[in-house]
Order: sequence, then C-alpha cells, then structure tokens
Amino acid sequence: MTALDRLRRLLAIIPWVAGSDGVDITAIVDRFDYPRDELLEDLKEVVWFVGVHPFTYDCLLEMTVDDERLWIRYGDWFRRPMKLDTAEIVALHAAGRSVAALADGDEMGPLERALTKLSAGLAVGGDKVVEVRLGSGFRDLLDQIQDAMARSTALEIDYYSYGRDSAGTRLVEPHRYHADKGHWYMSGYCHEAGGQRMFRLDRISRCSPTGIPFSREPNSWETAGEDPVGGIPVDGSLPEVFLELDAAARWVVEEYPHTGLEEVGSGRVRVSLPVSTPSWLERLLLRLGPSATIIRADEGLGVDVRTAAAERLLRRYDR
Amino acid sequence: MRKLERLLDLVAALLAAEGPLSRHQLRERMPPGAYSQHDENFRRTFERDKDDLRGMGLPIVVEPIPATDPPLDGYLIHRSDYEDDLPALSPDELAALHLASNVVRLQDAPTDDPFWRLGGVPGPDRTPVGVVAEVPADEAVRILMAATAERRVVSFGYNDRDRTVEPHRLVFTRGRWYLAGRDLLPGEARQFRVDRITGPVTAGDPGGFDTPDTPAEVNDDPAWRYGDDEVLVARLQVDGRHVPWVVDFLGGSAVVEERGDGSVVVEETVRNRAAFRSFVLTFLDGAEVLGPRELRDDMTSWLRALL
Repeated sequence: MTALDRLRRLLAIIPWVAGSDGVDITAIVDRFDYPRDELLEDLKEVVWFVGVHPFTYDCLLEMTVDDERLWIRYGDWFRRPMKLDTAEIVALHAAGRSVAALADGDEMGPLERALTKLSAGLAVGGDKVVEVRLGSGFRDLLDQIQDAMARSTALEIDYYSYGRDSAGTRLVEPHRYHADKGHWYMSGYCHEAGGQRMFRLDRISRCSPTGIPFSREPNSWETAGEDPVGGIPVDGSLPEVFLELDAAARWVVEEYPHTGLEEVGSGRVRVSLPVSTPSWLERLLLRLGPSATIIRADEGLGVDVRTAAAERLLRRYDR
Repeated sequence: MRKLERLLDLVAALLAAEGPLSRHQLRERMPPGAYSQHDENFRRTFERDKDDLRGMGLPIVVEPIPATDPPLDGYLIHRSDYEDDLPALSPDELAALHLASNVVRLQDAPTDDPFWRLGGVPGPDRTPVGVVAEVPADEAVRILMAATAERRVVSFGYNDRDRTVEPHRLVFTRGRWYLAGRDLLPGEARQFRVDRITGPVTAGDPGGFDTPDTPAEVNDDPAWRYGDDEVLVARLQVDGRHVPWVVDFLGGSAVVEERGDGSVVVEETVRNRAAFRSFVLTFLDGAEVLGPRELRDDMTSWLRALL
C-alpha cells in the first residue's frame, strides 16, 4: 500500500477506535482492508509519534497497542472521520434506493434506515433529485430466478428470440441475473443451445420451476447473448450491408456498431453495418424506409430482404 | 521521516490551527526533520503533500493571515468542512448499504473509501456478491450529482452550444443518465442526455437557484406521445411472444384486451406518427395496427412504397 492508501485508512481508523473502549486488531484488519503486519508496523512506528506542536507527551496521540488490541484515548484533531462529499453521499443513496426498490416489502429494514441517515448529509430535498431506475416490473420473475439459483434447479421458459424472430421453449440452469442498458437479463446454461446463453427477461413469456437439479458450474460470466445487439463484432466476421442514410436517419450510426463511415454532404452519410441476423436487417430497413438507400450488400442482404419483409407484413393487413 | 508520518502530522497541524498558517509557520509546527530546511526543497515537498491531501478530498483552504503586511495567505482546514456529521450507522445498516453499493455498482466511483469513513465494512459481508447492475458514473455524472443535490448552476456544451442550466433532476433510466432542468438561455425546461454533453461540466456555488414549484422532470416516455401531429388513439394488436416486453415498456394499463390466442390489444396516444410507425415495425409481422383508419392506412402505404 502507498502512503496515501495508509493515510486514507488511518484517518478513518483513528476516530473509529478513539470512539470505543479498545478494538481488536482483527476487526480493524477486516473492516478497513488493512494487512495485519502493515497495520501493526504503522501503528507502532508511525501513529505512535503523531501529534501537534510542540510534540510533548500531552500533544501526541495517546495510544496503547499490543498484538491483539488497540486503544486510542486522546487525539482531538482526529476525533471525527472526514465527511463524505455530496457526490459520494448521492451516489450511495441512489444505488441504495434502487436496490431497496427491487426488494419486496415495505418494512423499514437496515438498508432503509441507512438511507435515512445518509439523507441527513444532504440539503433538504437533495436525497430525491438523483435516481437510478432499473425497472421493477419483473419482480416475480426475478424472485423465481433467485429461488431457482438458490436451489440449483433448472427453469423452463418460453422465450422469444428477437434476433431470429422466433419463439420456443428452453430448459435453463440460471447462474446470474443483471440489469444492463435498461433491460434485465438472466444468464445460464441453455440445454437447447448446449451452452451459456443470456436471456432478456422481457422476452420470457412463461417461466416455470422444474425442480430438476443441476450442478454445472458456469464456464464464465461472458455468456453469448441470444440477441447479440450491442455485442455485434465489427471485425468483418459478419456479412455486411452498405447504406446511404438521409440526415434524418443518422441515429443509426449512433445506435448500431459499424465498420465504416463516410460523410457525403448535406448531412448524408454512408455506413457499413454488420448484419447479425436477417430479422435485424428487416426491422432496420422497414423502419428507415426511403431514408436509406442500399448501395451494396453481401449475398442475400440486398433490397430483396426489404421487399420480402414488406410483403409479409402487408399480408397480415390484407387478411 | 516517513511520508505517512509527515502527512498525518500535517493534517493534525492544519486541523489544530487556530487561524491560517503560512508554509513556513507550518514547517515550524512540524516535528524536526519533517521538512527540509532548504527552502526550495521544502516548497516542492510541501506543494506535493498539499496536492496529495487535496486529491484525497481534504478541504484545505487558503485565507489571508490577519495582521500581515504585506498581506500573506495561509492554509488551514476548518473542522466544520472536514468532520463527518452524519448520524452513526449501525453495523447492520453499514453492511446493508455496502451490499447495495456492490449489487448496483456505480462505475468509476470510489468503492471502499467512503465506507471506511462511515466506520469500515463489517467482515462477514465482504463476501463477493454478483453485480446486478453497473451504472456509469464518470466525472461529469459525479459533478452533476453534487450540483443537482446542492442546487448549483452548471455549465456544459451540448449540441454545439454552451449551456447554463439549473439542474432539477438527474435520472438513470433505460440505460442512460438524463438531466432535466431549466436552460437559462431560452429560460425553458429542457432535458439533456448526459452522454451527449461535450467538454467539461463546471458547477457554481451551492444554493445558486431556488427550486421552482414544478421542477423539470426527466421524461422517459416513448417518442410518439410527443409531437405536433393530430392526436389519435392507436389500437395495436401485439402477438403473444412480444407481450411481456410490450407490457413492461408501455405499462400494464395500456392493455385493453387480452385475446384467447395469447395476443393483447394495447391503446396508445399518438402525437408523432413517424415515431409510432417505427415502433410498430420493430415487431415485424408480430403486431398489427387495428385502428384508427388513418394510422392503419399510414402503415400500409408506407409498406407498399417499399415493394
């Protein structure tokens, strides 16, 4: 640890110990992540001598230390730890509130009490103005996933694959759930796919516990997404489509990974887009309509894709 | 003397100072050997120490030393700026808060340091937990957090213009941070996507504005609910495989009919037809605009033009 790492910890440890009648060295090691040998050395060879001018005995920290326990009885300058700054309090408060919103029940638990105390460090109303919204619409599903994880039993889900625009039933051994970019995901081993997969909760239309136990360890948290939007490789491994976009369609450049971009004047751009699945391209071309011109496309990804998709949708309207 | 001891003594001297002290006065109040007697070496070491302490967040202030001629500035730490005044957190409260901050992790923000100052992290809860959400919190976000909570006017670049904004709300939703506030130049409520802010964010003094009775709110409603088109209420049939998503996105109250085949009919107010059409097309043939006639025709003529 550097001198500053030690200083940060000691400025918090000294008031914490001074406020009590002695503390076990082990407790300090654990709470403040301070390796025991370094802590004892710093206490005996540094803190022991700390004080203020003129450094007579009455102007030094009054400290007793043995290998088990530490007492600090006087050190008025370090009577309180340094306060958290507003950004630190707001960040802790916002994270805590988002977790509290996920949990069930209205009772005032330790987290809610901690948040109330943190609010005391903010200006009036300051605890309400910053918010982290993770979405709490999937509480039942999250409960089911948590339960299955705790019991190590598989779940059966009806899942809609957005990329392939197809639905099917899958047996999944859940290993983890998380929120990312505004969506909730479950990752786990999918028996149908024969590997780790990630499932977006808002595409699960049914979820049932199976009671089937599993013992497979997750290979890695870096699971392949069922829907690779966001994780599309831009190394040329996917087929590509080359589009010219009107100024009004420039959002595409911001929204999707691309492998090449050139300005062609009047706000128009030409962009090379890797195509992860045909359905993704269908959606994009239908939404863009005349604001996109297909300049060039790998086999099977040209204007025929758009025409066929438009015909398919119109058949629904012509029924 | 070790750097750690010198810094601890320096913090104690700055906290114990009854008034601002010059660099040389501070050297006199340090133990012998703490700083070099060679003035230039002393100045360099002292400046580096001061930068290190400020980097840690220690509120070292510079104030005029009374009765000096010519006037001299000195340093001190006001205890009121330094000392924590939060109510003490009990071990279970601290553990719950620490767990929460690991479950929903603000990226780029210090993790353990604030907890040490709150009394350390009680042992058993150090076991690693799965991170449930990682929320970006770069420097711009951290400045905006403090500015919004302390009512500081902020300035930043956005859409090729310099903005001066009274920040009312900062919300992370649908995967992004948004700031809502009053943009002082037009004097109107505006919403900003924080990841589109260009250049540094600077903040004025605390209490720089009064919060209005109706502060600006971050609005994450879909784009088609806002616009200048004639207001229509769309009836959209959505097939079963898309239902969980559409219910989460629009809210359960949008569903007006559940059909035997698993599909639902939702009603949505449309003020921007292009945005609504784009939304419906993401379902491919998994959704159908049932009415009103104008919106249904809008969709079919759009599709026919692509044949």
